[in-house]
Amino acid sequence: MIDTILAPIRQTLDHHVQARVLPDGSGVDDQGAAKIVNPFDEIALEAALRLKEQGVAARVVAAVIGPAETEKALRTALAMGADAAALVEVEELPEPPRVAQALAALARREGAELVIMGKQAIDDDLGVTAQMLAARLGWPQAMFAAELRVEDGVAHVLCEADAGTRTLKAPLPCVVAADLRLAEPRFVSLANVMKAKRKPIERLSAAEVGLEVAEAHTPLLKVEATRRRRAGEMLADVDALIATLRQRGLWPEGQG
Amino acid sequence: MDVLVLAARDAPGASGALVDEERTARLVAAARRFSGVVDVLLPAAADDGAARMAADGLAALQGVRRVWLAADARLTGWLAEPLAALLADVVRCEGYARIIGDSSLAHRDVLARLAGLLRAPALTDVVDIIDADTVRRPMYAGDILATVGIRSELAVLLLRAVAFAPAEKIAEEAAVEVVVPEMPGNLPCPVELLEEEAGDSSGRPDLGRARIVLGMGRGAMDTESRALLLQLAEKLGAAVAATRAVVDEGLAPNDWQVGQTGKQIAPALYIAFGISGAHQHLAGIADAETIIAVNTDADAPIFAAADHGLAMDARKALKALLAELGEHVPDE
Ligand SMILES: Cc1cc2nc3c(=O)[nH]c(=O)nc-3n(C[C@H](O)[C@H](O)[C@H](O)COP(=O)(O)OP(=O)(O)OC[C@H]3O[C@@H](n4cnc5c(N)ncnc54)[C@H](O)[C@@H]3O)c2cc1C
Repeated sequence: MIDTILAPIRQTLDHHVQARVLPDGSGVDDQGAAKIVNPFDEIALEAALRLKEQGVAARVVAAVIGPAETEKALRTALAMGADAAALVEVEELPEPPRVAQALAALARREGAELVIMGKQAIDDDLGVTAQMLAARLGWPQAMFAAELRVEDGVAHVLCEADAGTRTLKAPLPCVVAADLRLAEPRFVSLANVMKAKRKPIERLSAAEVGLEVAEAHTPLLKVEATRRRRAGEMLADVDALIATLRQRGLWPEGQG
Repeated sequence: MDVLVLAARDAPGASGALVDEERTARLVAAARRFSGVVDVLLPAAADDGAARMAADGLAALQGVRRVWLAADARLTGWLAEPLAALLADVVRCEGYARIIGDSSLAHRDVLARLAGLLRAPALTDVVDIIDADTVRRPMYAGDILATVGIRSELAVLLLRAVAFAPAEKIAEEAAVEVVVPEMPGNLPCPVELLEEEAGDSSGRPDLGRARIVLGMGRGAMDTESRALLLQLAEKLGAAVAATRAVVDEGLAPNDWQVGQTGKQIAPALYIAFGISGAHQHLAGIADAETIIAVNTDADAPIFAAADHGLAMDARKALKALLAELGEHVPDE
């Protein structure tokens, strides 16, 4: 049995909410907008909890690096069943290389033998932190995991690929990044939400995980709303559809 | 600024080639915007005929100075640990300032790890290179287009290859040198690749390259519609995409998923059958030249994001299209 699984999580804008640009175009206005646990991190946490329930691991530690308000995400993690929670409080979310640095420090501090986290956060859509963390720790990685089994100190992982899948055997300690099919997050009961409110959260300063203030390496210079609207011209029937395709040379000629 | 391009990996089993030359040509053309030398690294399991052929193809692309043919059994299957370690070595020795790849899973796996080793930032889904220190990329499921500065000497950029025109081929054979670098003895190989399963495309073209793509949503995933849609795809030589909802139902493999957390495609024509038009799905089809939607609900959001719409039952529309192509379809 392994001792600790670390499940880093991010808080993101609720995916039901349309991201709005600040009037000066300097960023996204998320003041007062609904926030959720990044869906891929939620899947990752679920996978970690199942390993614990299977008796593969003794405990699951959820961790957040972010502003004070992200404590809410940790409460959700505790309500789902995480045994402990750590919050590294920073004013602004650091860039991925520094998040990876802080998570590496946390993983060592907690004595984690396995890190399971989402393959990407659905706000910045970067999808690079898990790999950077694995590199920092010098651990193997299994990205885009769809199935995970841990046995005798080895993670057997079925990974999504550009075409088909890959089956990897990665020795622990390692970093696994969750894709959609890895697990279906459990429903959290109100009773567990209430209980989670009283569970302790360990608070760490940025310095305790080696984070110093630094200039941004990839500053957001400007954001714009994307225009997705198209003409939306309605066609009367399939004949009209075929005529449209013919006009554009997209219908096989000499047939029909 | 000197650039190292990682050759685009061809889907295993797709064509037997090691490299997706067309996609790599797009990366090379984009890399030239940094106005330095452009070298390409091609990983291969061995220095054999196939590897040489692939390397020569890349060496004939306009703007390439050198092709590194990294041939070593430890690079089989592009496992991230040895390949990222090798790339880190090459980058440090040669002093490249930008490392460029595509946004495929294969490149995300390897190149974000490389960024971690180099302590460098990595930006994915780059759709525009404004100058050497400024790029654009979508965020928030493509609802937002961000202009991002690069304030570090070294950076890893993963491009959405379809957003860049390919570099031309200037020769039939290698126009520049192909160099086999000496391989470090201590490449880490902790992970074992037990199996690489190519998935089933039944001879259909690759989603990333197809001229026509047919999209399957919840409104077209019943057994009959699904079969009709696959039949039409075959008739049109089209690739098939699916929404996450259909993938979740287990009615389409994961590698058919198009959208924010799936593939981004840029075909000449995308026809969405029974797809509502969630912004997470639209994120994957924004670059399609023409979008046509077929949906029973005249108020479905997909229509506002489509060039043409047909408010109709997907199954009936598919049958009518097939009938027009002279295909036999069972009557109602
Ligand atoms: C974090 C996150 C990431 C996501 N990433 C993606 C992604 O990458 N790609 C993606 O696709 N989705 C993604 N989604 C899911 C997305 O939000 C939508 O749920 C999904 O795209 C809906 O799929 P759909 O259009 O097939 O189904 P629905 O939204 O259920 O729409 C079905 C449509 O079919 C129509 N219909 C019904 N019957 C018929 C008929 N007989 N003929 C014609 N039309 C009919 C209905 O009118 C309806 O418009 C993501 C969601 C989250 C939360």
